[in-house]
Amino acid sequence: MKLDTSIYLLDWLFILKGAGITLFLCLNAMVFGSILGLIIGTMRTSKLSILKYISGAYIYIIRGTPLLMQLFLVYYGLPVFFRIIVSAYTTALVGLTVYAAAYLAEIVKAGLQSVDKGQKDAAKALGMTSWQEFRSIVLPQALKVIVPPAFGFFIALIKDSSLVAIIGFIELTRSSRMVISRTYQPFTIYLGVAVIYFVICYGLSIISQKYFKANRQDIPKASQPWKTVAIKVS
Amino acid sequence: MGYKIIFSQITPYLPAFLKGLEISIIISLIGMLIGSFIGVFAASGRTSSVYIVNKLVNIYVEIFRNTPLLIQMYLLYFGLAQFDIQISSFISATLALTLNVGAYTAVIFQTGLNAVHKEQREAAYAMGMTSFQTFRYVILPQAFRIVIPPLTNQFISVFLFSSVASTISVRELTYITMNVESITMRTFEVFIITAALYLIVTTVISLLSSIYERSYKY
Repeated sequence: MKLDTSIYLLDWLFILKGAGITLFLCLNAMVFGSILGLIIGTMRTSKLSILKYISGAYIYIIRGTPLLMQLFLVYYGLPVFFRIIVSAYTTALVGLTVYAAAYLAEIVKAGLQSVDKGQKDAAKALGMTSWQEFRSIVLPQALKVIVPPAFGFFIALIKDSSLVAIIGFIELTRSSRMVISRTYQPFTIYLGVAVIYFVICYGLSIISQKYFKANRQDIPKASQPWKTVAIKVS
Repeated sequence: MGYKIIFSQITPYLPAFLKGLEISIIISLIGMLIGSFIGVFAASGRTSSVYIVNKLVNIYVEIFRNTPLLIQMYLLYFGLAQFDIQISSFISATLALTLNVGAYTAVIFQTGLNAVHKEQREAAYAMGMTSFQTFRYVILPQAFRIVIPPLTNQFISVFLFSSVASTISVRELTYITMNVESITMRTFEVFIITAALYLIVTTVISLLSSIYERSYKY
């Protein structure tokens, strides 16, 4: 008997479905990561030193260890420490959210610090509470600085999310491995997967270039990619 | 919770951890050194006026910047096997990392070269320097100072992403971690050691860079 090792259209559709799942996972991780990152980034600029140290330690640890190790820790750690068994999707989402939060917190921090001190003084002079000052004066101006590098991080997250295939979540990379295990044509399939990743990431980067070019002038140094990825040792 | 932390079962494996760390560092050092070398050439290719060179270099940079490192390693390690080309896991991991670094550093070096003012070049020419002298003594030293912080970041991220090599069974730190974890089942202790080792190296890299940067201030 001869094994059928040809690649069918259905195989590619299966892989494309994986691409959809990758995007869905990354969007969710980005949403949760942004919320967490906003909180941690704000803590980082807080006047309370304990909040500052906790958030600083979080950012330092997550950005100083590889994503793969963090994913393994969530994968093996959740059942061992908390005696809960969660789905592969939850594991992947938790891992990516924790990872994204640390990087986004650094971007948020840089954004908040880019707002001129005079703005805060003016808000105080108008009699705003510190929440009002943060909500309607600092945050809107900071967001303008935060969004472009955060979008850049989203593109990087899509590429990094290929690592969740290793802990068994069936997304783009994992689904391609499943097709390969039947067809034995790794080069063809992985090339196709690379093309899919390329189309997504390059497309998004072109969108970001077009959309964020207009207000590039008023983006200060904080949004330069290497400034936001820098690990600060203080 | 009910999880007791016991380190005694891990201690026999400590040399294995260090051996793994050594391989991680070797992979990332090779990747970073050869990759930066490629990056300098690619950066000058991206600013080249020869259309074909410019296009080819741009295609290389965009392809490697917009696909995951994992897929690049899989393509080299598993993919080439389809054509009966077998390369060892260590070489395919290092090769993928090197090409990846080349693409990323190309952009970094390009920014660095662009950041040097045009007047500097003109002044050098006015002094009668050849174009090589201008590049070597005027442009490069200034560009180098600008690219040190982003290059450091690149090095840190290369070191962290060298962990991806464990997926094609290179015996580096993450691979060793998973092995020791499955032998001893001491999840927490194993990960504490690995995290500490990774943190130490990344901290040392950024410390060295900040010391170097400070010595360069004028």
